[in-house]
Amino acid sequence: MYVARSISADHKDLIHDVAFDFYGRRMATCSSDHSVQVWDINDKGEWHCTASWKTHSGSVWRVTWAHPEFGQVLASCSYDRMAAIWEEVVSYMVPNNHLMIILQTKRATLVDSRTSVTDVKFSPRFLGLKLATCSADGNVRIYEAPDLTDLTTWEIQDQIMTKMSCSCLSWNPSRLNPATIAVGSDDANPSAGGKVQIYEHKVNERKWVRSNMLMSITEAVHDIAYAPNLGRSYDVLAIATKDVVIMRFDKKDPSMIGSATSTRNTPVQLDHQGAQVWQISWNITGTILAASSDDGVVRLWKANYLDKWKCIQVLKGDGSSVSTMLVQPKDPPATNKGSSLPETSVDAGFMSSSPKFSSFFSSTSAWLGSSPLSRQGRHNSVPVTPATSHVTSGFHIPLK
Amino acid sequence: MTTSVHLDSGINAIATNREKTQVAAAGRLVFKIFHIEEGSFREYLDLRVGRINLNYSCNDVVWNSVRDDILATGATNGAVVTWNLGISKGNKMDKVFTDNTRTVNKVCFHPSEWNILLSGSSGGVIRYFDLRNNVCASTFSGTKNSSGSIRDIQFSPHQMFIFASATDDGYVQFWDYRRNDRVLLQELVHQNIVFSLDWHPEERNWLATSGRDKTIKIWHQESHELKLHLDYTLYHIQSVRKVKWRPERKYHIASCSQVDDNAVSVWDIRRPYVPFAVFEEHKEAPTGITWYDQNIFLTSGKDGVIYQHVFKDAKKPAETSNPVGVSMSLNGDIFHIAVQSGRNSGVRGLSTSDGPSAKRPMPMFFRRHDRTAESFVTYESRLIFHELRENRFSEWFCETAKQYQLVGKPFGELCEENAKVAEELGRHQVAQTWHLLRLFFVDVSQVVPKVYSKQSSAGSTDVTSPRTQAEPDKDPDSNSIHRDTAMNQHSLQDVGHAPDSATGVTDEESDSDIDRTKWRNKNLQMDGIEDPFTLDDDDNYDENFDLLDLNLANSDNWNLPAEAFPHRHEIENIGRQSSPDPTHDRSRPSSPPTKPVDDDQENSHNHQLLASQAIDQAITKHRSEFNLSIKYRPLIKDMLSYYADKGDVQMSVSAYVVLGDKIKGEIPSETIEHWFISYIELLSRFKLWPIANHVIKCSDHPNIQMLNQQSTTIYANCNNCDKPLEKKSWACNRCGKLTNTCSVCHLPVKGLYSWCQGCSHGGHMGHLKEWFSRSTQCPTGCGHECELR
Repeated sequence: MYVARSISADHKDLIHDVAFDFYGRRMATCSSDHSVQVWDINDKGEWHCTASWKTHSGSVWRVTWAHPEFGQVLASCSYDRMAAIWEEVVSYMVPNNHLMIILQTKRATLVDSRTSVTDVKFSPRFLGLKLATCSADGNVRIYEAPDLTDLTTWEIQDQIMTKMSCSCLSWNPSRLNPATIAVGSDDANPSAGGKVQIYEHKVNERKWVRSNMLMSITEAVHDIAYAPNLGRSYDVLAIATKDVVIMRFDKKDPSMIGSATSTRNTPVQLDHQGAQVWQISWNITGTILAASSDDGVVRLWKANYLDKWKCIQVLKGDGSSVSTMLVQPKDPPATNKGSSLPETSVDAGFMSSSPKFSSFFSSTSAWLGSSPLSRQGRHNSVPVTPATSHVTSGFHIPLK
Repeated sequence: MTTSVHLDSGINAIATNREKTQVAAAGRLVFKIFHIEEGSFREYLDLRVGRINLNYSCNDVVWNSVRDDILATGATNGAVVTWNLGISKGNKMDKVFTDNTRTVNKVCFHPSEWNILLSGSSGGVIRYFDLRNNVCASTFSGTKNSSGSIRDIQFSPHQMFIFASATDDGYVQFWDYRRNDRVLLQELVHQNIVFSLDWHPEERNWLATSGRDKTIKIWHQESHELKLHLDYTLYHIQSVRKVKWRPERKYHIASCSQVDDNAVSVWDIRRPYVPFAVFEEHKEAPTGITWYDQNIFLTSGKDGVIYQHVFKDAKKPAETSNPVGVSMSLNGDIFHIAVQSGRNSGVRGLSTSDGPSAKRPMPMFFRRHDRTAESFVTYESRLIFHELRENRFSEWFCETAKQYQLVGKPFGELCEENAKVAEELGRHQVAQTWHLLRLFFVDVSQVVPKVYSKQSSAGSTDVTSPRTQAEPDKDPDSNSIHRDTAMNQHSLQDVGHAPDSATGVTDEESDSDIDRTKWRNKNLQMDGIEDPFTLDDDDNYDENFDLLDLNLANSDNWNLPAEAFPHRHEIENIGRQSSPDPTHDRSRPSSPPTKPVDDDQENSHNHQLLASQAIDQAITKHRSEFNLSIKYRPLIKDMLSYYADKGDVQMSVSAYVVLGDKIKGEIPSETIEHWFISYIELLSRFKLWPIANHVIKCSDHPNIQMLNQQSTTIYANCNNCDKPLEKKSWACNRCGKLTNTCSVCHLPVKGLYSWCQGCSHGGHMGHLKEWFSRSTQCPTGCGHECELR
């Protein structure tokens, strides 16, 4: 159950991106007001802005953290056609005064682009310290810091011409693959072909080669995200277009997805009722997808045991109410329902996949005040897992 | 439609005539006049004819606002030239003023007096030419404070005699053209060069300036004050060469950059960071902007192109930038950015609430205007933190990681322990899986009581275990795989058979097989106890209450005693028939337990937790024919992959480690490596490094085992004499002192010794923490600014 809290950020224009760091204890925001802010959470769970500085002379589109192994390193990209690498330097003033000053030092400016740099992403850690940027003129550039102790030097390792106006990119986090990048385009013209291209780094040829172009995606793509791959045998790619499309790439069947014979590999469309989805984010295990749309709502999506994606929660932007759409079985996110496993799971699956049941369920429980779970369960002769007891919470969330 | 015309050379300035039917484009090597016709430009005149000299090299061009036939240009050599289009043929050059010795940056006609021409040059002098008598009527030179070259001049559209000039050293000056002896007003407006200024066409006394400091500033002058007030600051990508107000839009202004940015931007001055519209047609830096009407304007560029831009073709950065954002942390917390809803009805300053102007009280003059202004949507984001309060991934993940037991116990017990861990965290499916795993490899009949007992009730297992023993004997092939399980179970079996009726008592003692012998002795002693069942019943009673909490689904038919009781009798019978002697039992060739199969089936059907029909059937059908472990190895492989695919790599890895040799070779080695690395990375994200290390140790994959073998050496120096320490030394070879004394309390440190690698001093963690909360230097006084903070 989510508790919403509004945090006042001193940004003077729209905030475009928010990024958690590796450990989830820090957060960075970037805004059109040219600045980036870094926030830290204290032991009480409150967020404090610990740094705010002017990073660019244009809207800052994205901000991203490097793996902490490389230091507290941030990268930002902007409308001013630059990407910049920042490192946090903590210095102490006057000895014994114990005044700690956190300075964000600009380590490098990547000025190769001639147009707005629309996205910047650090590579997965096993590829070293690499950075990919994409720009509105269709160039994807891969930079590498050859010396990890010196972040001022970044060599441009490769440059890919995508021939489409790029808006977002995502590294494939799976270590089973060669380095792979998916690039999305926000070109509004639907006839201009597929809006997502996937590039693979061929080690032998030492270059990036387009391995796939998703022709089924014709609407403008605003965000793209590979799901974290924790031991999965396949890759999952979420694409934020008008709706969210989830695609699955099986290692065994690397050919086109749309034409795949296996139904598992057909793209899944998550309906956002006409709202434009702008940004998406996976949870750590890659099982829940948060999609933020311009109706001011975040929807959380999760696949059930049949690989049917369901909206499990809607988080309202005003923070005033959070409603549970479906009865969510208590089973933790990662342990999904499996058809190969005992029947109990099927029961839970039935509950989550049957809207009729769940609406009846929640309305009844609301009517009765307290949740009459056990009774309910018997009536329906459905074994009620203890899980369902949290149904009634979540209708009203106090806003701090 | 955006249209364009290409010229041979870069254009420095453009000017339209009063009717806006013609446009003059002037550059160093070009000077032409075009007719603006519907959707196109038509070349009308080339003024670069005759003997070309430097007078033709134009820096600026201006059309007389009263007489359509007069133009003026400022040349790079300092000449100010007027052109008369009325000259019938040949060279239209009319007069040349050579008063300036340095480049003329700007020429400017009076909006209503045709004869008044001003020029500003790099020499820092403004010259006023009267075209009636063709003389330089007066000069306006900067005061001592301001001596830089003049970049821009413009007559006020509202005050007859006033013009403003912009200088290289950051000043804007107001002059009365009738009086050249003094500056009306002088204000420092930019840190550096002021490239351009523009009076607002409608708003009295609004002035926009732009400079090299990458800003556009909007000022106003109080009617009776000789001072400019800053209202808005717009932040440009690059230094701003030119600004021009958009007609009929009070808050809109167009700008272009001096260098390095080829876009022409139109800003809403209330949104200081994001241009309202952008026109990116130019290939090189734009130089001149002239509005045709509110939706069409002309620009010229160094690329030699004049564009007629139409607003409909504009790119609007605000529309393509994402207004909302979301990020999910590893805990499942979500940060959400949403657009702050609500309209700001033109109250200036809200959108720029922290701008320099907002703090100042609003002048009366402005309030009047703003009240009638069009409403303006503020651009602000809300930052919302959705904290996940329940069912947090991190919680159960960390708990599970900490509590799972991967090695050090017999397989069955590990499964039970882990099942219990999962059960307590409410992860029923995982718990179930652990039970099943045990079931596959141990014996179904053993699990039955196990499932119900929250305390490890090995006693009942013992009773049922003969069948475990019986099975491998039937299938010699699987014997090897199964042997260690069987061996592990032996300890339990031993006891199980010894006491006929003392099962209840043995329950309590059977938690580990370490003190097996002791236990056996004890059992022998307890052989005579008559009322063990009371104890047993009590236990069951309690446990069932626990079960009620844990799993409501099973609450209806938990009649365990009834179920367990006949079961035990059955087994006891078998036990008796064969032999009560443990040693015998171990080597005993088993008799096929045909009869108990039925009982077993019955039992497992009664049993709610064994809900899977498939498994029931499999057990009943095949238990006498196949070894379960062989039969279910592919199934287990699938199960592990299933968990990994579902994002629970923890389960995959844990189960894999626990299963050990039982599924060795079944799963590809790279998959195993992938799982392990994923799990280890996950653990390290939650900062569970000791557990990660444990997992590494448990792994059988060479690549994984390597992970904690890297950079394990710690180099340390003696904290007294700085000699590098030899391995395993706690005293320094040279000075003979202890190396592990605490710098604060001077006692040797036992356990965790933390030290600064810079100066080799350290000590108790607590002491050091306390010390460094007050000081930044080393407690020994060595003067080192220790890293340990």
